[in-house]
Amino acid sequence: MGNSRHTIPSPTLTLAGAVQGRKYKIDKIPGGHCLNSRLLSLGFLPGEVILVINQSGWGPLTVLVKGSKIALGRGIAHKIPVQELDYKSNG
Amino acid sequence: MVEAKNSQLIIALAGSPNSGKTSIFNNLTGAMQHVGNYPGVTVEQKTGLRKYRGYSIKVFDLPGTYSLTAYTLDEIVARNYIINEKPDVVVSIVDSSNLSRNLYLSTQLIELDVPLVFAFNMSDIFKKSGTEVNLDLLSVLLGAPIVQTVGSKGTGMSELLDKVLEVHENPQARKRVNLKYGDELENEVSKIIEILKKTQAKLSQKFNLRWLAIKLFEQDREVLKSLKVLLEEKFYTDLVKAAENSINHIKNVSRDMPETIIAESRYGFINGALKETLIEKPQNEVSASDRIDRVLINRVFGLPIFAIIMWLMFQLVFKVGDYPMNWLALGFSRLSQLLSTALPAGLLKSLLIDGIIGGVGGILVFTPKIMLLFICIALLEDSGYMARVAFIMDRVMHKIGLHGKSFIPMLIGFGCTIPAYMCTRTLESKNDRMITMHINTFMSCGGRLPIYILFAGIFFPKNAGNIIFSIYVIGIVFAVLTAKLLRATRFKGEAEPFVMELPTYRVPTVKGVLIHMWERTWLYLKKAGTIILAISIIVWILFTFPRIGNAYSEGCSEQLAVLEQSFSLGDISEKEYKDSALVIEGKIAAEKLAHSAAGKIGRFVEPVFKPLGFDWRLSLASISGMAGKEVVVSTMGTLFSLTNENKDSQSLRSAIAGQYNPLVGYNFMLFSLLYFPCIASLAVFRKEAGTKELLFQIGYTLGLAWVVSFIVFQVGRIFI
Repeated sequence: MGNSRHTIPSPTLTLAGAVQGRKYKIDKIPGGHCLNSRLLSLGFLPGEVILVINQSGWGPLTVLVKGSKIALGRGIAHKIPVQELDYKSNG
Repeated sequence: MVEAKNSQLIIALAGSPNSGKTSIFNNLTGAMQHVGNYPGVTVEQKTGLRKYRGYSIKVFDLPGTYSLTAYTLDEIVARNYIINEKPDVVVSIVDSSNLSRNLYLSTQLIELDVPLVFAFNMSDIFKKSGTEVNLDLLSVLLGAPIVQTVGSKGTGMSELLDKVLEVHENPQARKRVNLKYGDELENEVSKIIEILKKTQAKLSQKFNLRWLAIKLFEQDREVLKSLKVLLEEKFYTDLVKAAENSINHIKNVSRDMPETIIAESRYGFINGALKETLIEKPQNEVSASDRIDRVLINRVFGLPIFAIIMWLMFQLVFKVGDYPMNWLALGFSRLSQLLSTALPAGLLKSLLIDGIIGGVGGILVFTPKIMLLFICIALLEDSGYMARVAFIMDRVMHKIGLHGKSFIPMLIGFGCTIPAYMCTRTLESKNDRMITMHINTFMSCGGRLPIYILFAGIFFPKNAGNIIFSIYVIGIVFAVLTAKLLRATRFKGEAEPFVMELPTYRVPTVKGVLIHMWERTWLYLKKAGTIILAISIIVWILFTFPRIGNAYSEGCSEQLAVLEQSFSLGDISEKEYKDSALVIEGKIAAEKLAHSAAGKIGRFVEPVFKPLGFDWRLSLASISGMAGKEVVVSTMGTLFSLTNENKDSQSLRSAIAGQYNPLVGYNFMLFSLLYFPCIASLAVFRKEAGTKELLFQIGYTLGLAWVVSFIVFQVGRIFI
């Protein structure tokens, strides 16, 4: 589901392609002052580990960040690059 | 330093949304609250008063924000209040069960260098989680006392006030905590502070210079704006240039924006403090909230469940609300009867019965339904479901070029449009905000409800609920179409990204819901007691004066006398007599109305409304409805009460039923739905969006209402 980029061996994944119930590490917070600030104030930081709670493949998704549940629109989820953590460690 | 008794103290409550700030505010101030009048006041502010240990404490409830940047109006309002008004103590309210995220706002209060007290709220839930915290140490690390509170139960309030007084009375004991942003950034911060110190403007009296420097690195629009005013021009440009150099330098060294680094440092500070003081118990991955959400925001069931909840809400409001409404109606009609027997005939009697009871009473009758509607909305808000509605509706809203968050003001708009306009402040993008405000008109507000209840009850007694529901749905359809139109023409561009917290579900407290409901109901009642009372009197005057000439009424009286005589002589039957008498009385009333100023105005504007099927009465009611949609009903009340000798509560209904057909009745509801809600809402609209948008709003909604009603009437006429 993630947009793969051919130059990098491991495909770059965005939050939009994340799977429900797995944990991911945020790579980078997308630019644009307003969006940037909103995400930071809700606890989205580079390196932060988040859990995808609800992801149905369309429409918004929900993630757990710093103990709160945040809903993210699909558009913005596409802009947040993430890395999947070994998901056996989850729970 | 012992303060004199009866001294004033101002405290401000700051906290993120869902931190329980409102419940603390309610507990601190109780019934002594004041919601700033919407029109005319620069900022909507909730304030309350509390007497405590000889102090008269004024409590300001700041808007709930996650941060103190300048990206939403709420943030700017909260921040400007703290900077400009300099409250004696700021209470930072945090959700104890979510410290790391909630303390983010607190770090920014620390940066602002204000006297602080922490309220660790919802401490009952926190204690249940088994997590332990060393509060003494944490309070040292955060540089301010911490009080554990449970806002929903009112626990910890006096401890909180004690600490507030302690901080206020011992300013010298205050410890200043400096957040560190890493060596690279700190270097640049010192450089900027050095520059700031050189200005002639006395910045340090108003601002903390370190905070200013940080804001310059965050490229904060508001701070830049106010500096531009305060500083000499050359100095300002140099300063901005220096800040830009620093930003570029940081970007080069760390490949991150200074904003991100600052945020990371704040969270780093929080994590550091919590690491030393918190022993966390591993939590269940799946909380009760998550389990509820599996159903309520399920991709398949989410929308139908929401639809059912909405439907139930309307059933509750209309079916259950009928009983108290009928009791009130009965009460008012008894009152009229009482007055009509007690008072001598004349102008005063007419003013009281036709003008005031007919007008204001006609509005007060609907209070129970309005209260029920506001209770429902408060329940949705306080339980946490409202945020889910935004989530569920995001997909739908996306299709009309908005996102889920815009739906919340729309839902509140079902109650009252004015708070709905206020609520759009949480939207960051101006375009999104403008569209949401423009379409909010079509979210049928509580003030229009009396019109629907009256007309649907008269013309569709069997399916009144469904008919009213259809009006609401049509409103939504027009909201959608208007949003699409505006997005394609006047406010181009993409919707802002959708990011929103879904708070933990909570059982709403009775007190919280009642206060919420009462705040809004009070506005409704206040309107009934002031504007609507005034308009009712004006309407009555317009209907009563100028009075008809003596010749005409004498002529009629003579006719009546003749009639009476023939009846007493047995020339005509009782039925014939009554019918003829009614005809004559009707003629007098009609002549009176036609002669009155209102009648003339009605007839003057009638040609405009005629193609919609409205006669001069409905035209007049629509015009008076601009003052407030409730006035439509009160005007109709006065109008038909004046023409009718029989003053029981059924008379208005039967009079209207006799005058119009269901098509006109429905069309009138439609027309009332589509044009702007009321003058008060327009005042707020102008303040929030500017004169240009206001003119568009007025022109657009009036035009649309006319065109739609025209089409409905002209097409509907073919079938009837």
